[in-house]
Amino acid sequence: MTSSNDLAITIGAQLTSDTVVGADVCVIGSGCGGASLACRLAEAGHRVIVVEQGAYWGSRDFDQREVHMLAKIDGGRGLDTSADGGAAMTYGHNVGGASVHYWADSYRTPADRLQRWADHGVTGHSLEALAPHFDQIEQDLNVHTVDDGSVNTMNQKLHDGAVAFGWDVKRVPQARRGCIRSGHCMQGCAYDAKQSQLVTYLPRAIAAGARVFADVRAQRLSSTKEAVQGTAEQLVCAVVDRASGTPTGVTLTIKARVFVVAGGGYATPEFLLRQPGLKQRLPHLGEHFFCNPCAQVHGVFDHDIIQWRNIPAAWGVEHFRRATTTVDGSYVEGGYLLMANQLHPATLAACLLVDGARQREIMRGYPRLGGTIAWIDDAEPDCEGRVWLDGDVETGRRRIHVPLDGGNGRRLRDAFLKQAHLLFQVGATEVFFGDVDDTRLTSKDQVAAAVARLDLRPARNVFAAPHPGGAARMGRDASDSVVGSDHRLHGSDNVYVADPSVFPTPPSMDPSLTIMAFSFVAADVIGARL
Amino acid sequence: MFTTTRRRVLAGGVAGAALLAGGGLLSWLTRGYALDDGAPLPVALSVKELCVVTALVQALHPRDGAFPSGEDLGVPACIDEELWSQPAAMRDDLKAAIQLLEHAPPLLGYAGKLTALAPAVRAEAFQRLVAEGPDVVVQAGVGLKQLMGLFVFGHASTWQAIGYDGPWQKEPRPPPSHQRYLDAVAAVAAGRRPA
Repeated sequence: MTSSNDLAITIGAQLTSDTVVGADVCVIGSGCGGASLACRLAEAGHRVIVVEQGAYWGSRDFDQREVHMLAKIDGGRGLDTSADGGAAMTYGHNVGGASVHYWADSYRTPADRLQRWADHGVTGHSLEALAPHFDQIEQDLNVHTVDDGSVNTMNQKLHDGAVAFGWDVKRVPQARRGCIRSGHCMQGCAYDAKQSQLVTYLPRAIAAGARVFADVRAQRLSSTKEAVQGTAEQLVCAVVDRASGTPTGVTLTIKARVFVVAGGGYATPEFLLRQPGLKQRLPHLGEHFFCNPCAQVHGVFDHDIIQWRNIPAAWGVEHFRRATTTVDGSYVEGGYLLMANQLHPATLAACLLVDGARQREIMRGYPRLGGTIAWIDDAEPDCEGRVWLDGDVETGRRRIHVPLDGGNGRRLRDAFLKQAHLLFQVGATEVFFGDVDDTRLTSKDQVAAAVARLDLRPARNVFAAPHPGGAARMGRDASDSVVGSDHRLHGSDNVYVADPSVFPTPPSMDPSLTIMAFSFVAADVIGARL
Repeated sequence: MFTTTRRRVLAGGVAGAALLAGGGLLSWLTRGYALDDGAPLPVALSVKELCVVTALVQALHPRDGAFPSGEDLGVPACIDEELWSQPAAMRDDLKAAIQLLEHAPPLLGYAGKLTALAPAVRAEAFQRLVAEGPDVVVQAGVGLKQLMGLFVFGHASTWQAIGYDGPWQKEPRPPPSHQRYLDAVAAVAAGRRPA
């Protein structure tokens, strides 16, 4: 088993004076997009440098305490929200990125979604083109279908309910090796069993000669022309003090032939928006943002569920993955992936916006509490959000808008409805949403009316937003996108993007495998030009 | 020579009333906030903000059967630490949220600031603000409520009461920001400016 500890990574505290380093390729970000690309290029013999603004932690640092781990590996220490407070932005802020806190769900991109992207102008990322990459990644990450011992009670109920309703339910492919089923996936795997980037592509990249810098915030690409036109020559980074998160005053400058922005769906558009003039030249930058906002429903049972143990998602309901519409295009139902939920107590409590006494009442019954979660496929134009800077490119605050009305509102309501019915079907004696109005149901007859009444205005419910992307989407040219199908920024010679920011829509499944497969394509394009 | 006219009397009256109202407002905004003797000074929060947070923790998370109180768990200090560890923009948002909530109860007809209400009334007022208040008040309240929930139920002392068997990793390993906060608390106690 590969250890995530003691990797040869340079941390900010080791950078005490301004430093200049050189490479063939500089990769900004070390999550699924950056690490897999760095590994592929390094193993092909190229000199690679990876810069990561978050800290480096290994499995011995993962103490399974939610408050500690939110501070270590989650962006904004877990408190970041969209501008109106409507969506809780969930993203990695550490070496390995979100793969360190993800659930290890590992789906290939559905063929229909790849076709939709091709219709948008994406080439070179067809099912046939990606298939060998998926094969390779699945082998590298030991993606497999778990056995029955990995199915906890809540997952079994999800399965049973789906079967009772005739919904399509399948085992969720998992990237694990030697999992001991602690259930602490979201706090980082203390056993190096979850196949995050920390135990897969990053150690391999380092073994192949890649240099990785942690606590280093990419700031400015300087180019022969304004707005990252022409050839970018160097990247200036601020070294960050790990304890305070503030710059130390020391800089790290990387001179490279190619720069790859792979900071993830939130950080990549922010970084690009901070490059002077780029938004003016690429008007789609920051637009078309998606994040899979999640509707969560909780159920009280008369027997133990113990939702916090075993793997989070053994079964997944794919039945509603694609929204269905009438012939005139009106929404009917669906547009989400449905899974069992797994919340440890602090996170669960933070999702309960009810009053204090009611919160204690719910938490007293924690062992008998189960629940489900639906990742909304915010793929239609009336679902799109936006990323922008509130101020100038130097000091402006990154802001995110996630609409909870329109297409997302319709999908969220349908997801609440289906989940409530499923929980009653499998024996819940009470179902509740955790919203500020404390919507509580004791029978399936109450579901439709309660869902119709549900207040979806921002901050009346908790909608996590775990899968951001789209704000630097791929397409034909600057009139419809930010990067071309070769992942290169329109108008730039040597700046590329390799993370979910390039997806024209969400993949409609958990995105990690799609991100890595796209990075393999990008790596091969870049490798060919070096 | 100064001559009294109806207009001048009226203007003087308005100015005097405004002065009194302004003084009253200032007093309403700033008076009545003090920590217990010997209580550690906050680092990120002002004394007023810490009083508001403490009042909310007392109201929403009192000792209740097997549940320790939020105060016993040190939740107000946890919130101070969290704000100290956040980027300035987020810290400023949360501090503004606390100030807003303190003075919001009259919007719903309550006759005083949040800290001036009896704990049970305070809890009711807070939940009504979160459920019925203007969007900005709702967002402020929800943010604080989530922070309190996070720290109350993230604390090992509550786990037995909820039947949670806790982490399998037995040794807590706090983030480095925790030691930085402790250093800052010590600096403030010694009358120094925290780093």
